Amino acid sequence: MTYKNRFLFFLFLSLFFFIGISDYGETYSAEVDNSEMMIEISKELKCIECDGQNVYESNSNFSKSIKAYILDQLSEGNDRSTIIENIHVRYGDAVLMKPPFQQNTLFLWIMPFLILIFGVGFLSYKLIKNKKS
Amino acid sequence: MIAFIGNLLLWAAILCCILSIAYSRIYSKNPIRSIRYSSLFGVSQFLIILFSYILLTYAFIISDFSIVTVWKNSELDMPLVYKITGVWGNHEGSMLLWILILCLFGFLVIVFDTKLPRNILRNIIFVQSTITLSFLMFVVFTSNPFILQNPIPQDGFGLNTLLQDPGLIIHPPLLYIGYVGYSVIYSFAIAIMLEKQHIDGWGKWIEKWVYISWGSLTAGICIGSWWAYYELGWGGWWFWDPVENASLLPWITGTALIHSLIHFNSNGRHQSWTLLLAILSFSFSLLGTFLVRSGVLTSVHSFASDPSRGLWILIIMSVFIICSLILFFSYSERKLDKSDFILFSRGTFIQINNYLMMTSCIVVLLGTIYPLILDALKGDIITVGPQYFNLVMTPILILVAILMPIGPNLPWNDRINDFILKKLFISIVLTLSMIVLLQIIVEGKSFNLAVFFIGLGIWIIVISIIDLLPRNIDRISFSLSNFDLQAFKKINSPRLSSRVIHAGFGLMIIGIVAASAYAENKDTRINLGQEIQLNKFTIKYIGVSAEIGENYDDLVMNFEIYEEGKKLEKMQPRKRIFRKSGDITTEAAINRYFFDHIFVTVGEIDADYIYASISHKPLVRLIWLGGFLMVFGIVIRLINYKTKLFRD
Repeated sequence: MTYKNRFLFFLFLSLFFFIGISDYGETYSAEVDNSEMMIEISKELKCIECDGQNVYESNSNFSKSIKAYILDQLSEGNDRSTIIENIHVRYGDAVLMKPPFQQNTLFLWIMPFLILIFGVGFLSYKLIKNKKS
Repeated sequence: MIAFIGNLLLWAAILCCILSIAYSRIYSKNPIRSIRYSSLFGVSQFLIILFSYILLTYAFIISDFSIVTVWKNSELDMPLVYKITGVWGNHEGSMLLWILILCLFGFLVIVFDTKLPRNILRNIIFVQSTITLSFLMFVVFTSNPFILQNPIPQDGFGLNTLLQDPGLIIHPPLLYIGYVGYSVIYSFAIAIMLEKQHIDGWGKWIEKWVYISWGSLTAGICIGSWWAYYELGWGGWWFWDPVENASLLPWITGTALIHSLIHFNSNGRHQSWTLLLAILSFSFSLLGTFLVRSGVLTSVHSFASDPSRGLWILIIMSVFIICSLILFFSYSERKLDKSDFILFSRGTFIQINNYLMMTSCIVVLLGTIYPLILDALKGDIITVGPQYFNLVMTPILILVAILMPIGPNLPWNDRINDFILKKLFISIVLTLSMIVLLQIIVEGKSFNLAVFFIGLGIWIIVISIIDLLPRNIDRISFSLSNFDLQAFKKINSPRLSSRVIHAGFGLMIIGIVAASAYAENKDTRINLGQEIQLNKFTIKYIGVSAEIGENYDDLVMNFEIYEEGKKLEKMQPRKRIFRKSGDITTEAAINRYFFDHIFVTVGEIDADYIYASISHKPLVRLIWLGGFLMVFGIVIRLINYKTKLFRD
């Protein structure tokens, strides 16, 4: 292999490597105790009484009651997504730090990826056109 | 008296603005005269505003409470340094600082850019004075810092206690130099478009202004994040807070502009795009000012909210953005690019950079204003928090990090040669082996994505360093046997500065990833004398003491830290109680341990126990070290300008 081929091969490989791992999910081991889990969950929620703080950081009455609720639910054996969903249903979309994927946030979620895909498409179009000429 | 002179000065400055605008437009048949007068009034604008700013500072220092701004934002026994910084710790004063810097840049262009063609200089003075005029009117009519009151109160309210902090001494001016520095670039762009004929070499003219603004914006953002890190007490360094985002937007477009300028200066391509970026950067500065000053967004920064002010800035902003865009689209200097498209060329990589920068710019903008728009249109209230930004920005940042160090190695127009491939090949091998090493040492058998993200940072740094190795050596072989120090001196400053900046960004990535992935945190109740184990550190709570400051009292919690039995420095997180207002702020204690921080803040306090949050944040200092390197890279570049100036 020439250096050029080797380089392209490695570049190709590393690109896949990174794109593959970019699909990261958050995994939690089972043995995290309740208070740590409470912190994880409360960081996902916004304190709707405060200016831009999450429930974990804030000390408002709202946040205190939510923290107590989360601990309560955890001790009852409910899992993360159920607890978040319960709070979501009660307080609406504003309480979620990560906006839900739904009709009115479609644009917010789709737009960045459309731009990226368009860019890749444009680049490949240019490459193909260039090869032909 | 002070207030009277202050008002007089503001009106005099308005007059100067009008005169310099008028002189820059009339006398078109006699450009020398036009320039002479408009420069004269441009310089006097600066001097007058400087004087009025000093006057306001003086009023703060002598605590003249007959002036409303002073009364609201200062008090008698506040430390002197905060009386001075208090001038920009409020809406009125900070707008005056904004105008001061605006005039300063106009002044610098007039005094130092003497080699500019006359008509361009005239246009620049015209645009710069128009911007100054509109903001001066805004200050005089909606936020006059020199308003009197009667009777004169005994004492003032004092500066917002969160802002009484060393980090805030320098953060706003630096940020403003960055924000407002873009106004010069904007003025240059407009000045060039106002000229009907084709102008060559303008890229070189605006280069140094771009570097100055971008560099101080970078420094300002870094210092701001440092302040948030230890003063807000949550131990985070970036919150994706709307106001932070507002400062990030011009930073991103500025980054794109720097790269686009490099391309334009080397072969004159993408002229229109570069102009558009210059306009966009200042537009985002204006947008940032609007978002911060109007109070449409709630954030830790919102210390001024008054709808009428918001409307004013909105009008100013819209006029400047719309006019410049109309001018841009009617400016017909667009050539179709017929040259060959080469994927592995520096130009293409710069275009990709610009594309990715604009994508991230749109993401940040969208995330910041989407809740506002949705609320206005449909009445739905949603929150776009850090989780959104982290999720969407990460893939973009991965692409940026992979491509960023490759670009500067590629030739402009040539096909890629074996030498470059060899260099990249060696960098890839080095990086991959470091990643593997890291995986084995840090993670062992478990799998953690953080290693690969850190790998991205390493990748950038490795190439940046290899790039700086002398060329004549690595062309023969990469061995260091025939090492020649002289070759190092041949590295030219643009190359050095670009690699330093890139490496700084790499360091920043490593710091961010390591500190978020490997941070260990314990929120716990500690009794007196109790020891807490965190990683290899033992933290012992040994009791409370008190300290008396100038306008506050500190409740000091004393901690001792041991690293495997060996005693490190004492740590003293505090609760700071301001005597006058009764406000309590949390002062974190930070212990530096190599590049790590041990971070302690205190929550609730009782007689024999406290609630403390103790964290170990590995490599977190790299974030600011990286930021410092980025600014340092800019300084290298600017020093080069200066020496060049003397050589000519």
